[in-house]
Amino acid sequence: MSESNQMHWVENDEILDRYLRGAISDLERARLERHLADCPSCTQRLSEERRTVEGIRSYAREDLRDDLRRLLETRSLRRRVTYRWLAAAATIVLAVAVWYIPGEPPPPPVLSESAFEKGPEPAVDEKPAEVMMQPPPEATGRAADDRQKETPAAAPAELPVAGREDARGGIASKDVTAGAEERVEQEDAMLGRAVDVAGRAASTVPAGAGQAGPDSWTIATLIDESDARAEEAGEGMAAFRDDLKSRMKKKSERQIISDPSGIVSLSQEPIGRARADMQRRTVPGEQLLPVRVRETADTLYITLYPETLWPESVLQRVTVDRSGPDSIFLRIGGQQLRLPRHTGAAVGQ
Amino acid sequence: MAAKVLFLRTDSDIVQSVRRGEKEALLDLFDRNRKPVVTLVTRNGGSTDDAEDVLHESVVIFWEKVRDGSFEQRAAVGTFIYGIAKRVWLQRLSRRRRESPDDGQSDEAVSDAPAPDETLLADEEKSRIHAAIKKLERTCRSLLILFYWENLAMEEIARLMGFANAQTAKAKKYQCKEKLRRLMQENDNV
Repeated sequence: MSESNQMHWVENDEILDRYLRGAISDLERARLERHLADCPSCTQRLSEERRTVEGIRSYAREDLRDDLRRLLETRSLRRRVTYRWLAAAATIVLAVAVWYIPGEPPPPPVLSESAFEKGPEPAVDEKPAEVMMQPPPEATGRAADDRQKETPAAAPAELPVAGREDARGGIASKDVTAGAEERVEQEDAMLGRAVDVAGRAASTVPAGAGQAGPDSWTIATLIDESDARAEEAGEGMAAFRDDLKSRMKKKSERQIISDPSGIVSLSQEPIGRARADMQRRTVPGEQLLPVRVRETADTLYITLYPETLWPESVLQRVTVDRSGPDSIFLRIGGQQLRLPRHTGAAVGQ
Repeated sequence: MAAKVLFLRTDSDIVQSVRRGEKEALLDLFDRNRKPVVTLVTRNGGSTDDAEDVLHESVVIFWEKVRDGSFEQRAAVGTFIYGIAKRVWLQRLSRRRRESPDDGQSDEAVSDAPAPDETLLADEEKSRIHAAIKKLERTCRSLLILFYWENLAMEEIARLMGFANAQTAKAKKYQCKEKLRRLMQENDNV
């Protein structure tokens, strides 16, 4: 057989493919290997072919490794966000809990009623301890939209094969978790503002109060530090809460918490550096927030629902009003909650 | 759609997940095998980072074995992955010992294992081929991966990728491979 005929025989891609994929019959393999022994150019061709195929396989392996890395990163990011939500909730819980420490009546209001442009105290309908207030249409809409988005783990289920997503939907495999990561980033940003709100509402001292502790930003700073610590520890949230609680009980910090009043206008500055711009004003007709209130003997839990993204407009303002020793009034985004002490009721208006 | 719950799944469930190409199974495999692999590597001269890297590679090799049909479920998945990890770590230890002979770690604990089924390509050549593959259009990339890595038959590829039939898919594969060859040559010339 001439050299050119031999080349023609080996250039039959199908045989080489079967050989390289290990799907060749014994008879055919023996024939091919006999032929290769007498045909250097064919051997060279097979060698090139083998390298190319090995390159394709190693590319696919690396692609899969990248997918695994992205899945792990996305999961880690989601856990971090969860911790931060817990931290935000814990901050509000503890900030409000200070009001419930037995034998510690709140200090008198700093500003006179006339200075506070507020209408008469709203009528209150007493309701059971756990009250889930209806989210505003905007918030509900966004939550519904959000729920429709897929989680990172869910995405591959619809695109079952490593390379198939490319082929079928034109979706690169690197996009597997991209949507979910984007969502996590959005949640993270939203949460950052929520933590800001919580921290500032709890730590801001009204002008003229004269009771400021050594550091008005203690709580916000503490959240950041503890969040990082909780992440390191994996299960560190309990320790974080205990730590936060013990620090909150210090007198100076309690004084900071016990005299919040007015509306905090938020900026987008990072926690710990921003200054709260306090303005006294009423905010009529604003939206309802999805907030869940639960009271135990000594603590009032106010949970900000992480399932629902807060509307931007709501995040602009937080008010913690205090109207007397029997109850506090919390206003978030214009929704006023009366939080009566020791009655187990929280009423939205 | 909510994330799938992957806890308390049997080996068979995991293998089926991998066969279906569900990438959440990667996470499950990673979590289940992390502890033994970390123990193996850290007790044999490696760090936790080394262990995680070995685990990444082992999980991917396991995936590949299941996908190309060469995994036969005779042993537990964990045992199988542990075996892969052992071989991968042995290979790395040997490489380290070659690179710095005076600083070689003892790898006797894993020295009975054969070399792992990793690529035989040199890093440089691998990069060259990968660069060429990245330049391919997405359809070509997918087709070549499905054929050479996933070991799928042309009929299946045609069905998945929406080609009229296996012959069309085969012709497209030929074109794609030729294109890849050209791109590799261009890279060589550059």
